[in-house]
Amino acid sequence: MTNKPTIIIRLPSSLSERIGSRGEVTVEGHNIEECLKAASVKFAELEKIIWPEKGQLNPAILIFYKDESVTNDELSQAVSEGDQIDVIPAISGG
Amino acid sequence: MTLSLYYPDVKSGMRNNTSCKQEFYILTKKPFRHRFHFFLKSTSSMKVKPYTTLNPATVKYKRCNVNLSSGDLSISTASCQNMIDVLGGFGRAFQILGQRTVKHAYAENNPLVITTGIMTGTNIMTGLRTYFSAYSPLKVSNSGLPSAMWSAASGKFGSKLKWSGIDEIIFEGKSEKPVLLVIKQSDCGIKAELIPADKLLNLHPHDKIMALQAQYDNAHFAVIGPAGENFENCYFGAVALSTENQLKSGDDKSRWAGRGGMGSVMGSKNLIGIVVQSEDVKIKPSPEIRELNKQIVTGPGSRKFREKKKGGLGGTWANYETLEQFHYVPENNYRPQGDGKPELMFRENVEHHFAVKAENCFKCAIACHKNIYEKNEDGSRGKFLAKFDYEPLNLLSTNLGIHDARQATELVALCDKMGMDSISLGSTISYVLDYNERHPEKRICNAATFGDFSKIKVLIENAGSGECPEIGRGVKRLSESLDETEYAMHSKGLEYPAYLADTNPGYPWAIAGGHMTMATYMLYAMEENTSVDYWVKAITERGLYFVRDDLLGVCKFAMLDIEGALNALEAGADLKITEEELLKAVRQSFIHALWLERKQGYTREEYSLPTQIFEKPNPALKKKHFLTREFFDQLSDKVWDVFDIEIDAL
Repeated sequence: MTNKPTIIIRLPSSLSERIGSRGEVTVEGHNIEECLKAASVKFAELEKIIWPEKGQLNPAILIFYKDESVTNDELSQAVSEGDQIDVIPAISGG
Repeated sequence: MTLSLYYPDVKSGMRNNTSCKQEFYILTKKPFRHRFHFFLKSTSSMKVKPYTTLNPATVKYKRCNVNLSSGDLSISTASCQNMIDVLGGFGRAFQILGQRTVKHAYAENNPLVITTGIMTGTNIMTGLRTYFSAYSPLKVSNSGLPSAMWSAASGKFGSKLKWSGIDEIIFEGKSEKPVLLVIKQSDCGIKAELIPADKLLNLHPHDKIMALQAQYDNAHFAVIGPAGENFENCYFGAVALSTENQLKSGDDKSRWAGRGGMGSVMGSKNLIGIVVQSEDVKIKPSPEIRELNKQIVTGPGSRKFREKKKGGLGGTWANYETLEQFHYVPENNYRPQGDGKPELMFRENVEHHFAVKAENCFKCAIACHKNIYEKNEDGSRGKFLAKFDYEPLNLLSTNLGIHDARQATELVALCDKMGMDSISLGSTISYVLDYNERHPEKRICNAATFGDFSKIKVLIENAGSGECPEIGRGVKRLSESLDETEYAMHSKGLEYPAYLADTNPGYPWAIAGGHMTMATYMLYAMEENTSVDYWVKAITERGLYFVRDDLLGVCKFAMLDIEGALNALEAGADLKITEEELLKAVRQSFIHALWLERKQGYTREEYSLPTQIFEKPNPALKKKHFLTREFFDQLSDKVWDVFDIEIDAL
């Protein structure tokens, strides 16, 4: 097993306030799912938000990797050292 | 009538040429570049000491006082009383409003306070906000007293005002004749004058702005439309603020301070518009500001509002797709049918027939404006039609039973032409249509029902022209006059934005509009939590901090986290404060606004939701119904347990 890449999970203020106003969480993982799960282990609130039902991404939350929205089927996509994953609410108004 | 006021160069000994009462704030002959450079590395005109142990009294700002009854104008220097004053925005305005006793929104003693935030006019991206605050004709307690409101808008007006050297304008009294306030730089400093505005009457806001642009170079404008002029029968007149794009393209692309009828208050004062003519202050952004702006435009916070090709979701319009998954898109007066029709307004479906272009406010790279154009045969853009943000689009189409994008463009554009708040207008019309469906034997207004485009269009025109006070005075009054309040979608007289009250028990505690002053409207779709304690925390610990940016002068779409906000204050406005100081000022501003509501007669019973939410759950909604009367009563008690102590401590 190779060393896991270190990546940054970024959250907008509307979500970061749930985990002590941290806008970024640094985690390790080989793919997107591993990284999100590592973040969820660090912050239980994130698990409730990202995976309210086991195995299914929250349809009101979007995961962005390399400027593309990621679906459930794409969570096994490999990540590289220094990459960023964004977790954002899909609902916001103006 | 021309009353003018000059602020002369004291060194050159120029004489003040007016007999107006005034306190002088003396500007130098070349005040702008020099003064800004001297005071700040940013473009803000406020002088702020960069210490955490800031003494607010050392911070000064400039206020333009305009007495419309007497015609007196003055510019004075004010000292900040506290951190809220330093930050500015609605917080400072509400402190002024709190000192007044106002019994009617259209009374002469109801001041209209126009403020900027500390970051308005700085190089911080989205630092463009202007705030209009007054006692509102729409937000009125059951005791009959009006409550304080503010409404915010971007565009470039706020920056121009700040660059003119003025941070705040207070309008008092009423003018006998229609007037325009003109603030402009002149060889001898700032010139402020009231001039006749008769020729602008009856023009649509965009036409007013175009007429003013022909007269004033290098200026920006805030104007009202027919709705504001017909304030007696339309309580939700809005204020249009000009944009660079609008002035260059000639298209109707204003930004709006819509909520709470601030345009109607302007109209009641016979104040038709404001012109600010000043030089742009151009200062090279510091490396810190460049980095912050990069974070804003590439960070997670603005993704929702950016285009898909820039790694975004395509704007607030994308709410349609997310909310429809749960049947949460308001349809037929906030009563989703589960019939799939909201899909017709999904962006990808609209783009089959129209060209959509993302455009922006001044120097903002988020480009949140999703403008709709005719699509030529070759796919290129034709004539500009309207701007589709989620709330105006939904409330003037799907929620009225309209599922045709072309009809939606017409209704959205018509609302803008008449100068109205699309949220209050759309919500009140949807109530009328609902009432008419329920009472075919005694229909009101023009007997329109859901989906009747032609009749709905007439209702919008009539509401804006003052010919349909039933609609123009908002859904609270209309529903009470008909003794049928259970499906009137408002709290405290302010109509709901395009998010179902069935999913948001936080609406009653929003202090100036349901979604921009209480961040609970999206929570149930996201988290589906039905615990009372969760909602108490959501309202009292998290949701209220959403008003932070309405103190600072930045747009909520920047989505700055707390660290970003503190960095922006330091880099953009030389204000170094702690997280605790910032959060305290935000919380105090919010609690003060609740105190103001209490002062104006609001009782606990008025912090509620339409009874339909409790008594007739909508079976079409996909998630569990949780908002029972019992749940809400428990929540209310616990929320007040928190807020009462803080209100009493003020």
